[in-house]
Amino acid sequence: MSKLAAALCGVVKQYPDFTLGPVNLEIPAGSIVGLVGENGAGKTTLLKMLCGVNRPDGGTIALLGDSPQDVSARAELGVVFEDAYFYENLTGRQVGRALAGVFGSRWDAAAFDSYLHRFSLPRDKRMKELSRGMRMKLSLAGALAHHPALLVLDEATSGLDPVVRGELLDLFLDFIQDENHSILMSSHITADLEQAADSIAYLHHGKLLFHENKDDLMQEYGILRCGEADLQRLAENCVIHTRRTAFGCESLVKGRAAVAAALPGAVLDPAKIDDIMRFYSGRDTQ
Amino acid sequence: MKGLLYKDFISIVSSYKKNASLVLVIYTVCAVAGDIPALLYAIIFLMGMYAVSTLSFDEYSHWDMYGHTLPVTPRQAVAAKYLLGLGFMGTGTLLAMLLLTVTSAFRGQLASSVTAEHLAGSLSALATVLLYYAIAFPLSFKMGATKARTAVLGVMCALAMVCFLAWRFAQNTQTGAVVGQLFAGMSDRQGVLLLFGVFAVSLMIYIVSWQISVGIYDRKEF
Repeated sequence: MSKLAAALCGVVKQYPDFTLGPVNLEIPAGSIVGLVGENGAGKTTLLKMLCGVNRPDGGTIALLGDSPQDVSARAELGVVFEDAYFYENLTGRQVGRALAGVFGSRWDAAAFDSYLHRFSLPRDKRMKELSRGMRMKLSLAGALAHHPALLVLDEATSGLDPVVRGELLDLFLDFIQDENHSILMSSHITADLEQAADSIAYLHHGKLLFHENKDDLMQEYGILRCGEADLQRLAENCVIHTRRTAFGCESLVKGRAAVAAALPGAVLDPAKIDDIMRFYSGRDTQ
Repeated sequence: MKGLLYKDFISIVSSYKKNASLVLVIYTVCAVAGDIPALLYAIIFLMGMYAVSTLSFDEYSHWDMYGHTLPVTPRQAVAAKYLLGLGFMGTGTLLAMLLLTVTSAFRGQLASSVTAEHLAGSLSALATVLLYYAIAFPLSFKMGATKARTAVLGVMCALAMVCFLAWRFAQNTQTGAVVGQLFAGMSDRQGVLLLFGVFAVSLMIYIVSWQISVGIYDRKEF
C-alpha cells in the first residue's frame, strides 16, 4: 500500500444551508491531487478541515500521520489560500521574518530568498502594491520555505495569466519529484489540473462523486455525438447525461472503448474535466 | 509566537507610525497649553487600542484562516495579542510618565511629590486601561473587532452606571463616610500598597480574560 499524505474518512461538516460529506478521500504521497467542483460544492470547506482551520462534525482526518489539530502535523504543511494571508501593509521581507518566527528551525531563510528571487518579487514592496499574481507567488514562497511534506492550494492559480500559471505548475511538478512531497490543489482552471494532476477528485453538491486517476479518467469518459436512435442502443449505465439539441444528442459516456465498439460510426471524443463537470452538473439540475 | 508578535508589531508600526507621532505631539501641547496634564494618561489607552486594532487587520486580511494552518496553538495565538497589548500599554505608561515629568519641568513644578503623583496616576490609569481591554479582547474575539467596539461601549456604560449607583448608595448611607475615613486615615505606605493591589487585581482580570479569549478562539470557525 502506498504511503498517504492525508486521508479523510467519512468526514462530514454541517451548516444550516449546506452539508459536506460524508467524504472519503486519500492523498497518496508523491502525487498531485486536483480537487474540482462547482462554486459552493464544498472544496474550501474540505480544505479548511484538512488544514486544521475548522473541525469536522463527523469522521476522521489524518494529516501526515497525525490530526490536523496537531501542531507538529501542521509544521509540515504548506498552505496557500486564495484570499487569506498577512496584512497588506507588510513587505515580503517582513512576511519572511514573521514566518521564520513561527516555523523556528524548520524555516529556511535562504530558500525563501531564492523563491523571491526566482519569482522576481521585490523584498521591500508592501503587499498592497503587488499584483495579484505577485501576492500569490509570495504566498507560495512562504508556503514552501519550510520544506513542507504536503502543499495545499486553494485556487492558487485563479486570476493569474497563463505565463505565471505555467511557472507555478512547473514549480509544483518540481516539488513532487521528491516522492515524500504531495499536493492537493483546488482549481476552477481544469486545464491546469489536466496538465499537472495525477488524480482528480470531483466534489459535487457536498458529495465526492469520484476520485480517479487522471489518465484513467481521460481514457474512461467521452463525449458522444449521435442521434437518438443510436443512443438507445447503448446500455443505460454507459450514459451519464444527455443534452438534446436540434442537431442531435450530446452525451457524456463512461466506458469509452465499449461505446466506440457499440457505435463505430458515432463521433466520440475524449472528455475533458470541464465536460465531465458540465454534464454531471446538468444531470443533477434536471 | 515570536513570529506572531513580530507580525502584529510591524503591522501597527507600518499603519500607525504617523498617527502615533502626531497624537503624542498634540496631547503634549494640549496638556501644557491647557494645563491638563491628566490628558497624557490617554496615551496608555491609545497604545492599548493600537494593539487591539491588530484584530481588525487580521479580519481584513482573513489572517485567522491562514493562521490556523500554521504550527501555532490557539493558546499561543491569543497570548500573542495579550502580550502585545500588555507591551503597548506598558510602553504607553512609561511614555505618559516621561511626558508628565517633562511637562512638569517645563512649568517649573518638578518635585519628588509631583513625580510620585505621576507614578500613582500612571499606575491607576494603567489598571483602568487593563480592565477596559480585559473586556475588549474577548468581545473582539467573539464578535469581531467592529461589532465589539459598540459592545464594549455598552459594557462600559453599564459599569459606569453601577459605579454611579454605588456612589449614590454610599452618599445616602453611612458607607460613604466609613470609606472616606478609611482613605483619610491611610498612610502613604498604605496608599502605595492599595495602588499596587488595585493594579495586581487588574492584571489578574486581564489574565482571566486571556483564558476566556482562548476558549472563544478555540471554538471559533473561520
